[in-house]
Amino acid sequence: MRRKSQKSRKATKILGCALGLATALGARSASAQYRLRSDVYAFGTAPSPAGLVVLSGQAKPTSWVDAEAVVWMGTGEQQGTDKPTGDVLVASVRLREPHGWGELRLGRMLVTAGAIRPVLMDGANAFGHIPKGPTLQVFGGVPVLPGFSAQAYDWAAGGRASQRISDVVSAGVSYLQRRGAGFIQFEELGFDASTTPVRWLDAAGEVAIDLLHTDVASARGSVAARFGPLRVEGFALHRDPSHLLPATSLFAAIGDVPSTQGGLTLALRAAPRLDINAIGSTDYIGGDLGGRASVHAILRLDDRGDGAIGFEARRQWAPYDASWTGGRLSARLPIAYRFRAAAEFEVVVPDVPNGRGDVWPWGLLSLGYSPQFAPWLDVAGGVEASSSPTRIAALTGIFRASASWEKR
Amino acid sequence: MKNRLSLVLALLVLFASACAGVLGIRPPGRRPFEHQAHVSKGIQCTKCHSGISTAGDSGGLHIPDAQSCTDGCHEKVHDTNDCTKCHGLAETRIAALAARENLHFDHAIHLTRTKGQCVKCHVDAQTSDSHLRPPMGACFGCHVHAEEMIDRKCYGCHVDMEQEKLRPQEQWVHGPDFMKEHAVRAATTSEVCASCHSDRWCAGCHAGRVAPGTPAQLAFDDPFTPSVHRAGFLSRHSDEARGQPGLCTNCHDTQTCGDCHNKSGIGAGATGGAKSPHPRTWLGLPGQPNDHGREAWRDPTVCAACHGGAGEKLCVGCHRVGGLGGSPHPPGYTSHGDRRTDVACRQCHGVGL
Repeated sequence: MRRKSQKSRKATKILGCALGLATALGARSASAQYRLRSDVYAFGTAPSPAGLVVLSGQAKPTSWVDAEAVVWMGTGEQQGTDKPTGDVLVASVRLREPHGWGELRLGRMLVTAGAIRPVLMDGANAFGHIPKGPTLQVFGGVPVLPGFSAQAYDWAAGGRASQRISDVVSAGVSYLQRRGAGFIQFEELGFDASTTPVRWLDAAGEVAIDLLHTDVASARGSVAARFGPLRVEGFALHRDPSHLLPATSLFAAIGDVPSTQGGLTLALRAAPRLDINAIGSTDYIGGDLGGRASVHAILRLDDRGDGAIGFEARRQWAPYDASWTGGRLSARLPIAYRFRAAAEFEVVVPDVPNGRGDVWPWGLLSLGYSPQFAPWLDVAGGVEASSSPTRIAALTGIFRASASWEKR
Repeated sequence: MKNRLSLVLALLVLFASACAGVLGIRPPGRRPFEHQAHVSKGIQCTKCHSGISTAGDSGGLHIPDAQSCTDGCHEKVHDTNDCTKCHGLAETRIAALAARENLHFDHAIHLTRTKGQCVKCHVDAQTSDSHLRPPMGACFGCHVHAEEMIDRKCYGCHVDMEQEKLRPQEQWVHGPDFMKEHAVRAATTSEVCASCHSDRWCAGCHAGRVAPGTPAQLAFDDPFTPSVHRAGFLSRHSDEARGQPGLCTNCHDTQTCGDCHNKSGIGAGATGGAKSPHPRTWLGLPGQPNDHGREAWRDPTVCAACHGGAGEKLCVGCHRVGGLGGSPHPPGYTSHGDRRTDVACRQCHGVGL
C-alpha cells in the first residue's frame, strides 16, 4: 500500500514537472513562442466508461533552445485499468548551436538513428555536424517502461555516423546496444543509404544486423520514380522475427524463419481532386506464399480538401487461415455554421471465420464544432459501433473537447 | 429512336459535366484572371487590389470584385454575369486564403520595402495568369534565413506546419502507403522529417504502451488522419499480424498484447474465466493436429506478447531437453546462441545439456 502511494506521488511529481517545463519555458521571456493544447476525452463504453486528458506544449524561449512535452492522465477500460493512471509521452529540451554545428537533446524522447530500431528513452541525444564532413550522433539513457516503473541496470546506448555527398547521396552506419536487468537484449549494427540521382528518381535502403546471433534482423529497400501525375515505387522487405525479440526471451531461440516481401506501389493523381493509390505485394513467409493488394481512392469535394470521400478495398492472402477481404468508405464534410461531420464504415470478411463471426463490420459517425466566438475551442462527439470476434455487438460514445493557446 | 438516342447523349454529356466538376476538371469557359495582360499595360496592382498596401497579418484578402473592374476601366461589360464568374480561378483564391491562414505575412511592410513593386515577389504575374502565389524560393531572394533553416525554425513564417498539411512537392509523396515507406526514407534523412514533425509525431505511434492512444483514436472525428490501426483493426489484428510476422515490434514491446488480453479475459494471464484465443487444432499430442509449433517458428514475437516472462514456463514445461514436447526448433535451425551462457537457451537446456 505504501509502495503504491509512493509510486503515485512519483507519478504526480513527474507529470507536474513535465507539464511545468513547457509552460515555464513558454512564459520565460517576452519574445518566447509557445503553443499549449489540452484535449479531454470521454469514452462512454458500458459498463465501464473511461476518461483521458492529454496536455501538450511546445515552446521556443530563444533561438537556441526549444522544448516540447506531451503528458496524459486517464482512467477506465480504455486505458486498460480501472485505477487512475498517466504517463509522459515526450518531455524534452533541445539546445542548438546557432550555426548548426551541433545540438543536444535532454529528457524523454524517441531516438531514431539510421537502420537501428527507434528507442523511447530518458536520456541524452547529441549531434555534431562537421562542415562538409560527417555528421555524428551519440545517445544514451534508460529505455522507458510504462507507468513510471523502472528496472535496475536497464539502459540503451548507441550512435550513428553519416556522410552526405552533395544532394545526391547520403549514407550512414549506426549501432545500438540495449541491456535489461544487466543482460544484453539487443546489439544491432545498421547500414543505411539513399540517393536522388535525378529529380524524378530516388532510392533508399537499410539493413539492421543482429550482432548477438550474427544475422540480418531486418532489411528494406525502395526505388521510386515520378512521371508527371504518376509515381511508381518498387519495394522489398526482409524481416526475421526471432532477431527482433530481446535475446533474453525464450522465443528468440525458438526458430529463425524469416519473411520476405516484394511489391509495387502506384500513386496517381487521376484528376485535380482525385488521387488513386494501388499496392500489390507478394510475401514469402517461412516457405509459404502470401500476398496483399489494395486500392485506395480519395476524392476531395472542394479545392481545399475540407470535404473528402475515401474508398478502399483490401485483400490479404496469408497462409493458415489468416486471409481476409475488406472494404472501407470514409467521408469528411463541412456543414454550415462551423459544424463538420465525418463517417467511416468498414466491412471485413475472413476467409475462414473459425468461430469468430462471418463478417466484422465497424462504423463511426461523428460531429464536430469549432465556434466562431471562441476559435481556441473545438469539440467533437461520435458514436462507434462494431461486431468483432470478441463481441457480437459493441457500441461506444466518444466525446472530445480541445482547447489551445499560443503566442507567436 | 432518334429522340431516345438524343436523350441518352444529353444525359451522358450532363453526367460527364457533373463528373468533371466533382473531379475538379476545369470547364473551358473558366480561365485564370488575365494578370499578364494587365501588368504589361502598366496598370498598378493596387488599382484593383485596393487596400493591399496597408494590409497587415490578418483581415480580408483584397481580391477585386466586379465593381472594381467596371470603375473607370471596363465600363462596357460584354456579359451581364458577375466578372469573377468566368475570370479568375477558385484555386487561386483558395491559395490566397491558405496563405492568409497559415503564414505570417504583412503586405504593408513588404510593399514599403519594395517601393510598391508587387512583381518583385509575384514574378509570375509578368509571364503567366495562374500560380501567382510566390514560391518559398522567392522569399529567399531577400530573406536569407540560413540560421532558421538550419535550426528548423519555421514558425517565424509558418503558423503550424502539421496543421497546414504541407506536403513535400517532389521528393516524397505522403500518400496512403507512406506508412510503409516512411521508415526507409526517414532512416537516412531524419532531419528532413524534423523540418515539419516534432518528437511527439513519431512517438505517437512508436511509443507503444506509453502513448495514450493511436492518432486515429485521438482524432476520431477526421477519418483521413494519418495513422496506424484505422477503423476496425481490433477485429482483424491477429490476421494482420500473421500476414506480416514481426511487424508489430516496430512500435510495441512484447507485453502490449498481454495487457489487453488479460484485461479482456483472453489469454494465458487472464484471471476469472480466461478464454484461449487459439483454435482447437492449436495443441495436440504427437500425431494429432498441432499448429502452435509452426506458428511459433513463423512469428515468435506473437507468442512472446502473451507468454513472455513468467509465461515462458508454459513452453519450457514440455520442450525442455528430454521433455514430452521434444525439440521446439525447426529443421535447419541455425542459432548462434551459446546454450551454456545465453539466457534464452539456458531455460530449456539448463547448464551442460
